Amino acid sequence: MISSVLLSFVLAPQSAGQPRPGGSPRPITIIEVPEPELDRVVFQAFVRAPENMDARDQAAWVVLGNSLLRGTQIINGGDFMRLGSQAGIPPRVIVMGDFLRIELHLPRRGVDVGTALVEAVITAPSLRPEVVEEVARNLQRQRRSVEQIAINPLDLRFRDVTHDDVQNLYTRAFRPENIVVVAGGALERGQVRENLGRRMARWNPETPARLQRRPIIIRPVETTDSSVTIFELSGNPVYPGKPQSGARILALYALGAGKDCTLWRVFREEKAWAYRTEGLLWPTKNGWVPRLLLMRRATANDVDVIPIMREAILADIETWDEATLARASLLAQSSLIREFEFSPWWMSSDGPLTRTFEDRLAWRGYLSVIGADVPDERLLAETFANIDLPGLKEQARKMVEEANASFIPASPMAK
Amino acid sequence: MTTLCALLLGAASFQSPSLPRERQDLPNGVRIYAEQRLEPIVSVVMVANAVSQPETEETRGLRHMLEHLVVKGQDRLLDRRLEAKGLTLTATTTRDYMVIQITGPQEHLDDAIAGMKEITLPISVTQEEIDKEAKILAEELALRPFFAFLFDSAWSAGFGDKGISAFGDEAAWKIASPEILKAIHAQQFSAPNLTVAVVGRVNVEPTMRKLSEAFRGTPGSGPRRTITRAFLRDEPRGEAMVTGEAIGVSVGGLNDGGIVPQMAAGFALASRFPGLEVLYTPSFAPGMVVLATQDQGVTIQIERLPEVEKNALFREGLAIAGAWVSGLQNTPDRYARIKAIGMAGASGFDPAQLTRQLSQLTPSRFSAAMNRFSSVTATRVERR
Repeated sequence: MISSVLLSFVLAPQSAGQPRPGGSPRPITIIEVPEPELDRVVFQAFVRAPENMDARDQAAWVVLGNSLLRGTQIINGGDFMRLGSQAGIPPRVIVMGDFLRIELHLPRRGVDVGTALVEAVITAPSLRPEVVEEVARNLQRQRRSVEQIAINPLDLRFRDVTHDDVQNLYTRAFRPENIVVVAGGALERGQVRENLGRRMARWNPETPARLQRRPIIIRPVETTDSSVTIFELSGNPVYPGKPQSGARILALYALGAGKDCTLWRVFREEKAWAYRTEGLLWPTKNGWVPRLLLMRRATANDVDVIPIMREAILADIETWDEATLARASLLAQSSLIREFEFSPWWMSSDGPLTRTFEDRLAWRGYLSVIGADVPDERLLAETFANIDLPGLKEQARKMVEEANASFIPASPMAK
Repeated sequence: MTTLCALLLGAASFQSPSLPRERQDLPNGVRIYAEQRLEPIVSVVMVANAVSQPETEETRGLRHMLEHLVVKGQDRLLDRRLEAKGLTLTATTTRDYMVIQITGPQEHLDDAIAGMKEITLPISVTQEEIDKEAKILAEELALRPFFAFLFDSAWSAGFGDKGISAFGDEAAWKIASPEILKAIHAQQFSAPNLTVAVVGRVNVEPTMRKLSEAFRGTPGSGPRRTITRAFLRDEPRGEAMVTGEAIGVSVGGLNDGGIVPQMAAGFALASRFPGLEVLYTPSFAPGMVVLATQDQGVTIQIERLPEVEKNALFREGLAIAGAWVSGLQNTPDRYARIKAIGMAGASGFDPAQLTRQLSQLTPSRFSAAMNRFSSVTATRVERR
């Protein structure tokens, strides 16, 4: 019974959404990365978030992402999960501020099923009111660890999100021009482009109006709800391939990646202030935002920490030598071409990108979403050539001096 | 139709094609292993079995402190030397073992092996270094998530003196001294306790030769030192803010066939109850799959969940367990880690067993595992 249902689902190309009268459909972007020896087909479907989202939109964006896999108008949630889990890895949606990413794994010969699932989830998620409500309720109840708060410090009020918010956001964001699908693994070149392109060709949704509501200001969380205070210096975005981007990326490695970086040496090994320091590159539509994080038990002098932190980092930069540059360059190459446990490149809240095939596809998708000239991370590694020590130090100093400073205090109960 | 049926029945394999691999037990008792993989990387894992030196109220947390100090190397610059070659070092201490891992470019295999060897050499630290590290450990303690404390509580409740957490606390680290750490090091890194595995783009035969040369001189265990101190049970352990509840189900060592079904049942419940964490540490002696939550009343809801609702979660459980099993093996460093842990304490264990357990997971096995979370033999803890 189920087989026949699924079969008809797979064989009948669907086209959700009606062609706009007088308008021509715009194609989605499809990138193929065949790797014939792989035992699976992997899809990374990116959706750009709309411009100028307020706090309510941002919360609705997370609710929307978490509701997508709960069923579509073409196939129910259970069957979607069943079909999408055949390679042993369930589908997932990763929601970031400026985009979301739907990741699907299918066994060999799974291109047809995969493209059908991608089409269904992008063009026709059911987003039923009771599902949206349940997802919002669960997100509101979620209690986050200090490290999770440090990575994602926004206080999103999921309880304020309505079904209309989510539906409106869906129609504003899920449009052909905002979609990038990267497919890779056991597929032939042209296969996904032809299959998915045909399925999506008629998808040309109406341009919706934004809901008229009073905007809500985005706020950071007020406390970590623990004995730990989070300190952060956050720099201007690094856009891959732009002038000085290579030096700025290496500067982030020297400042915050691995165990011989400035943060670790100064604040863990010398001052014994912290167990966890983190230098990370956080993906946004404008490029990677360099972030330097320090998590430390609260003291009476927390307000003084940021100036001390900035000053100590700047002093350490003056001690950098050729070995600092060589280390940063080597670790950056390792992150992008081999594997590096403390990689600073993040594309989900769960941890840095690795060198798995899935994550390599995610790289391709992200670079396409932001319109970077650099098509993949291997070519990005080439931008690290010809950087000298004075250039590295200059970019590091600039990054730290211009960085926005913030801190999220420990719970007053814990002091 | 044929294509679709194949798709519905097909499963991805997590095993790489059969490539050279070799295991050897050195005369002094060190187990060494090398396996070739195609990825341009090498990972060296050393597991120091701690089953012969269980945590006690007197020693809890001291191996954890030793781990922090020993990975700095003889000159305290081991990290710097490794990172200069693109290698990274990580370390973890559990009840049953300490695991140290160095990963990076395969052309620096010799540096990675030399780094491991250095860690086995007698440690010499000052009290000042110990006191400084105690501050860093206290920072680590402050960052521990709620579920780690619930996990510890479940192990304590389930295994009594055999379930004492290796993490430690501020009171525990206070008694550390250079002499005590030196004695623990001699035990922990004695030859019979060591397993060293190399996985990556390497030639197996020369790699085995290098491992043999590096570790054949590692000494056996010295005399055991008894550690005593004033009893510390009533001292604060830095966990006052943690509340929540947990259910734990005992499972065997790594080669026990019940681990994957129990994890699948746990994952399935986590998909039904948001905020529920599923926790398991690979262990030699019986271990535990623990479900932990900060929400009051969830464990009761789990126990009262109707049979039909539990069984309906089979697909979710299978899919998430599949991702878990895959995640344990899908890169050389992860594979090396689970392989070495298995070699160190679970006779005959191979990571492929987990994949087999997954392929043999039937609805009835899943249902049995589900029911164990609500059986009278499950361990229940509550912190309010």
